Amino acid sequence: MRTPTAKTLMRPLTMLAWAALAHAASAGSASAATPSDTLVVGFDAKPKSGDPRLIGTDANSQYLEELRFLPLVSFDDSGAVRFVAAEKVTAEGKLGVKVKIRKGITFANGRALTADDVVANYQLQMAGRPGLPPSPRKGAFEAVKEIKKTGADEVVFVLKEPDAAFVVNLVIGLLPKEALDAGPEDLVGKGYESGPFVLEKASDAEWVLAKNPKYAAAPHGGEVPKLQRVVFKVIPDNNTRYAALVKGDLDLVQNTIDADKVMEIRKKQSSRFDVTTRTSASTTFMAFNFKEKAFQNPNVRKALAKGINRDEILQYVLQGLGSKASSMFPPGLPYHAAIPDVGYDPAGAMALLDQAGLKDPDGKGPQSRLKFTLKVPTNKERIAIAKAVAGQLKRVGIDMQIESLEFGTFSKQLSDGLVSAWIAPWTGYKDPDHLRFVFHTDQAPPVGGNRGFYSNKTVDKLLDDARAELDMAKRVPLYAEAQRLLSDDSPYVYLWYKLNHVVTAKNIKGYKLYADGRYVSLTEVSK
Amino acid sequence: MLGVILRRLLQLIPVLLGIVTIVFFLQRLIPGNPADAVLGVDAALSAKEEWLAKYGFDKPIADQYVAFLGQLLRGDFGRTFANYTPVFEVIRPRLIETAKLAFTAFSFSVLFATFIGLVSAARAGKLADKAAAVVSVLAISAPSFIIGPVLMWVFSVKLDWFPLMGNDTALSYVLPAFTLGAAMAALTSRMVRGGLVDVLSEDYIRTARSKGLAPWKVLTKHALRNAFLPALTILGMQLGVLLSGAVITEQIFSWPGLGTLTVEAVQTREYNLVSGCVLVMATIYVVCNFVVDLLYRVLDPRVRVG
Repeated sequence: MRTPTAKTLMRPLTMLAWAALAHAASAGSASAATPSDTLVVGFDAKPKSGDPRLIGTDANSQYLEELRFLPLVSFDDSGAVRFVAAEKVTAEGKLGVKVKIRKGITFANGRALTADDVVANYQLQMAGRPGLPPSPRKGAFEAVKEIKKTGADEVVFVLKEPDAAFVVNLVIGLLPKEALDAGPEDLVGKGYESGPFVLEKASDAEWVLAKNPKYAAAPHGGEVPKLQRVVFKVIPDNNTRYAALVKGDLDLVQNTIDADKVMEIRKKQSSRFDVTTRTSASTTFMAFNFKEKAFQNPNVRKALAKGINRDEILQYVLQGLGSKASSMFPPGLPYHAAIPDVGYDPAGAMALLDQAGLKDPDGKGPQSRLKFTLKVPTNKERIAIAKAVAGQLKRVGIDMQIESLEFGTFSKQLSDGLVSAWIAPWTGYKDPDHLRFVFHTDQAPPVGGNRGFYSNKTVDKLLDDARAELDMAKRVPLYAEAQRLLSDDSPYVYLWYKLNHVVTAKNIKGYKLYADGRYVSLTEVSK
Repeated sequence: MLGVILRRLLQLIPVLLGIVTIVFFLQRLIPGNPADAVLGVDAALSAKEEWLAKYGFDKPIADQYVAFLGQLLRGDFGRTFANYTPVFEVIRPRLIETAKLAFTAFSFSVLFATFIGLVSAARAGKLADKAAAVVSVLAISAPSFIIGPVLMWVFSVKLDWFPLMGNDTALSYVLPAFTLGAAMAALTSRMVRGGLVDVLSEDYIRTARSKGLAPWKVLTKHALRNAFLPALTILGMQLGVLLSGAVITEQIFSWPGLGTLTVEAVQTREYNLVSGCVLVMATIYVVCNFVVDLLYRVLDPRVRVG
């Protein structure tokens, strides 16, 4: 029998391959360096919304919001309040917050920003608009009784009760009032942006911002963009994002590359990339539920603090991208409190457990002094940290089981106060009033962030007094005292402040890391 | 035939209704709610309650289900919570991208599987057949989260032959399509090879050869058609899988497809979007199976499609 040869069978496939190659060649090459007037940034997720009326907690949406729509206030690189469209913000009596609007700010359609625009934007945030869901940021304005225009360039927010922290809520990107009736899909290409960039294209794969031609004056001191375009490439996979950077498809990646890869770049590719770090506005902690009998004893909480070797975890899990924490706010913030570090002291931890009545039942045997479950979301880094902590606590006789939950489930259990112990970060501090949200008795579930049901009347009073005091210089000592009391009580074991990190290609100049990770310094970048 | 098509289309209705009903209730059984995802866990309780009321989530679940069915009857799947965009406007571009990748991977698989199957059958028991068997087992066994990154690192980062991600050029389809289609090609090639080996010993093949037909003509025109029938079922189901989105491959190659959209929607408790995605996927599955049934009838007229 004659059998067909490979050659005869290959013929049609060879023709097909040539056709495919010819098509591919005509379509372009496999890769190209990023254009000289364009910066390509790696994002880990697509921004959920580009509409200031709908933006909620999604960080990437907020980053782009500020690049497109100027807010009244923002934050500088250290996290302190910075005035943008507001020239001045002053207290008017105990309940008024007066905002003087900066002259010379225009939208891309050429119209100047007015007090009417500001009033309309914030009224929409509070009252909503038919056809749109309530603003996700509406809760920030619950304390506002009314907003009134008191002059051509002056607006007053009248509060229901004194709130020193209110000014940090004025970060909503401002739209011209005529845009407020438009649908979310109608905000692009209409000249509604007032920031350094306008949105040129938004897709599931990338968001492209182009230089706003009307932004030349930059009256608030912001920089006019040096580059024509910034492309935010959506690359959800960590390894692909790293590969894209190494290949040269990305110019800049901030905070979204695994710590070990950042260190690898620093060690092996320093000729191609710069790695910059700075302390972030983020504190990782271990917290306890005071409804659990074991955690009601302060000696147990302190023993846990002494039983954790944070240096070891920082070195081996976080690859040095963090520094030890001993209080809520990182150094650099004006309300940071210098609380002494507990230190790693396993003998001290065991002594405290003895004092708490949790004696070692069998010496070096397998039985533990204390057993509890720590919950974490299914996040690679968080699980690695939990495993390291569990290993360290085992050395002092504590059996810590780990349960990882899908993020939504974890969050729900946490906000309902159903978690015994957990490791999580607080991020993006805007004001020390954050302590009230986290530790005040009134903020226990389901209302606020006191998810461990901690209660201390003295701390409550200090935090209430500080919130009612409008002078920051007088507030700081009150928060310092509250933090000292909290350190004595140890409702949290503070672990570390994470370092923000950015990897940039060697030809990228002028990028500055911000404590809260915002990208406003993209305007200063050149290549 | 028209009656058959109509009957099968009518059968679609209870199947799809059952699926979206199950998804409706399953979503509400998962802990967490959309208000936590959109407003944040730390948002004020009153703000969360107002937001949930706006979408009717404060009502009893039975009332929510009735309202959902009413929406379905009007062909309205609602809007996303995060950006208030109609659900099918979000799904459409993702479905198109998934379809482009799926058909590329499918075409590659069918061509590759046919070629390898033909060579293996023609050289049964010889070196080429054994080599094909080894490569097929490797391709079936290696998961896409291994194949994808390896291909990406070698052919994109190191050799720079193909783009790393995106879907801008024809070349950008090569790596994801290969990753997606490799296992399917390997499996199908084994089925084609097995079918051909069986068919090649049939009398009508011997007759064709005795008439002096060229060997490749015997293989491709006479044997392949019958040998392909068992593979068809697998291909039909696989096409359904491919068109429903391939989460891992999409994730690795940053391909904005339906699979990753569905996963994101579940994670962010986008109830309307999840229902829409699942409905689209279910429809694709059912239609693919139906088309396979029809193709059976075309390839083998003895088969009756009921």
